[in-house]
Amino acid sequence: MVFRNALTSIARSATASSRIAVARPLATSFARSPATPFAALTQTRAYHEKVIDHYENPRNVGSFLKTDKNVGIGLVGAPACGDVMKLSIKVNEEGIIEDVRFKTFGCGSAIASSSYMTERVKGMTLEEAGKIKNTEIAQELCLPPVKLHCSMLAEDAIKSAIKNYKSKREATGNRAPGHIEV
Amino acid sequence: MGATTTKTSPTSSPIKLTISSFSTSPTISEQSPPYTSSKLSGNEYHKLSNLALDNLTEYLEGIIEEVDVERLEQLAKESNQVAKRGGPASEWDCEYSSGVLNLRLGSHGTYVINKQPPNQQIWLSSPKSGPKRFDYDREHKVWFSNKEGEVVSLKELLDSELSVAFDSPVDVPLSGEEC
Repeated sequence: MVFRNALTSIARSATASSRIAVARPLATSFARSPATPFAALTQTRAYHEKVIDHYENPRNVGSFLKTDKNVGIGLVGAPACGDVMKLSIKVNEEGIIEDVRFKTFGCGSAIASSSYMTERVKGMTLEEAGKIKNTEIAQELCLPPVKLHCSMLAEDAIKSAIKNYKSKREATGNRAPGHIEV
Repeated sequence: MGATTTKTSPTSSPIKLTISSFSTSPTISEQSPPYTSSKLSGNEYHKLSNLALDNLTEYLEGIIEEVDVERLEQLAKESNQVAKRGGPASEWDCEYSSGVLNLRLGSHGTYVINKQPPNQQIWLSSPKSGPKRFDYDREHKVWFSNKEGEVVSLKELLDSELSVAFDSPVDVPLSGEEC
């Protein structure tokens, strides 16, 4: 298994390196040689156990069909930046998110942030889900400073999914499923 | 607001109306203009962002050398200014390498400011206000963030937060030309 640099986002912005993720905490310190892009990292930092947990046991992985009237999909981020999150919500007639799925391309913190988000929003109303702040995710997962952006992306993802769902509903005239066109 | 009207005699000429208005609050045109992100060439982006981060590093290194860290630590704890995000840092220092600036301010936490070339942005992670992304407005020469209508410039944010941490007015020289 290859050790994954906890702060790969820095390297990612410089190179489009492949992402072989590992779950083991980083216990080694980084070389201080100025030649490596990791010279900026002078602190040793391990992935928090909560992040590792989400990585090894991700919750609600997958997606829903975008053609489904009750589904909203949020796709945020960009491969070049290092993180892409796809968050799919299934909303019932009462406006409650009855099911959620996520697919994330990115570092352990990004995966954990989106996985945690799916846990959080299940059972919430759209309004409640839209209020979840990146701060909450960052605190819950004890994200280090450089990974706060991952939690922000997860917040963007749920907002994007809600927006997508709402615009789909508006486009179809808010018809209840089973409505019969006469 | 004051208004004056003058009426001339009906026999000589039509009624003249003069209205002057005075306001003590800034008019719409005097408020900060909204910033728009400019499309930069690769070279331009790197030049601007390098300049910003180089200047910032030099400035911050200078401050850290001069301040009484122990006093600031004491102050941080007393006024409950400890890091809200990311945890406290182990020391007070500023390091810039490979496009990433790490500003460690002890109990206040760690600032990470880095270049994000794919987006032509500068990304900030603040222990006080969290993550933000800044685009460059060429016309106003400012790195600005616009998150859901809330507009703030990188300079404003850093000046404001770092002045508290250093307990003295901070004036970061991002380009030497900002408004």
